[in-house]
Amino acid sequence: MKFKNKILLIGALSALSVATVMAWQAYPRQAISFDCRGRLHTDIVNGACRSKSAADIFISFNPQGEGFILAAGSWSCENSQPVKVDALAKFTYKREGDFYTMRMQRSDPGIEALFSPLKYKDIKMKIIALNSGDYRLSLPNETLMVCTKD
Amino acid sequence: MKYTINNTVDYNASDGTLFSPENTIDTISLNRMCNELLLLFVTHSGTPLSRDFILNEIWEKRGLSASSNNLNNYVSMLRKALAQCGCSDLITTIPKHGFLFDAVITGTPLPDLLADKLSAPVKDDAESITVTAPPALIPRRSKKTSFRRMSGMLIAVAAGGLIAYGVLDAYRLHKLRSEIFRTQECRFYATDDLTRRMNKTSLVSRISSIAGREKIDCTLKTNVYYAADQIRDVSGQFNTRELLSYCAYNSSAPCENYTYIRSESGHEIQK
Repeated sequence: MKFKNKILLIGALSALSVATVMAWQAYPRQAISFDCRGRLHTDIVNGACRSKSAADIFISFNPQGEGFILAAGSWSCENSQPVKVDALAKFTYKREGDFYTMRMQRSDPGIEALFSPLKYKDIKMKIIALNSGDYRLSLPNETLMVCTKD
Repeated sequence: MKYTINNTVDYNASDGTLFSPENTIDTISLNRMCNELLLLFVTHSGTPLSRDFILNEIWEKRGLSASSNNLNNYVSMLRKALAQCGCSDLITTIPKHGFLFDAVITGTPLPDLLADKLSAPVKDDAESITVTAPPALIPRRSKKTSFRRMSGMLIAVAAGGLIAYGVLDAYRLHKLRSEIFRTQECRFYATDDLTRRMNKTSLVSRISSIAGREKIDCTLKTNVYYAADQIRDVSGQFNTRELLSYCAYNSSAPCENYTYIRSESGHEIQK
């Protein structure tokens, strides 16, 4: 095989590899296996009170289209006693475009005080890798947090 | 040297031909390997030969590689050639051992000739083969060369794939996060377009303020992500939401996220 042909063949195969990688990256995955953990500290001034919270948030998606959010921590209004919360919210999910639409099935009371999106019945969440271990979780109108893959 | 096999077939070991006037009008030409195999059989007529012995004598002593399958192929070809000459049952397979060539040989077997044949330098098969050799039996060097070529191709493809993946990932990350500044071991990134469009001085000031308030530790390698959004409501107040995420680099420790949500009048984040 001539040198030019070799170069051509290698070029073609490399292009094929690029196309494969791109296709693989662009391929929408309907169900994922994803566990992620992060700590969320909030300081809200424009609410009913100046509230603060600190919580460990654990989010898990399983390939069967189900998942759960675990929130453990506390919150308080200014000049009031902190309230401890250790709660779980279960959901089902499916992929819609770039977002995972999560439908809450059962939520323990008080969990929304630690993780505010849980006040909604349906959540559209985008999960984007910022590097090999950190993932940005965002709603269509806000970035919720960055978590570390478990 | 010429031999006569069972008084019916003339075998010329010098040029690898078989001639049987009673069965065929044409001379049958053997390929080089078949010729040497037949020469080995003829010189050991009546003696069971093990596969290892045959492989060693014909191939390995000359730096060639062959397997039992190759040997079977050549024995099969040789049987066909002998059958054409009316000698169909001269080679018997001895299960789990090798072969027995049993025939009446006339003519003087010359060990020197055999030795010469067996120690002859390796030539390209193309020069001496008149019957096509099975593709499985190619000299080792050719196999190596094609293996190297194939390996080279595969490595090039794999490297191409990896480079493509690296480039695409770097491009994707660049779109997702833009480094704003560094302090000690901390790298601060803006993670959305709204934040990226903010005035850099103001951005650095806001991030430094939050980092100072939360006592961000920059002695270890850390990625810090910042996102801010501000909406002005109908009463003229600015609703500001900021998120600073502190993620230890290359660690499974969970990221610390600091969210500030406030409503202020007249304190627009400088764009």
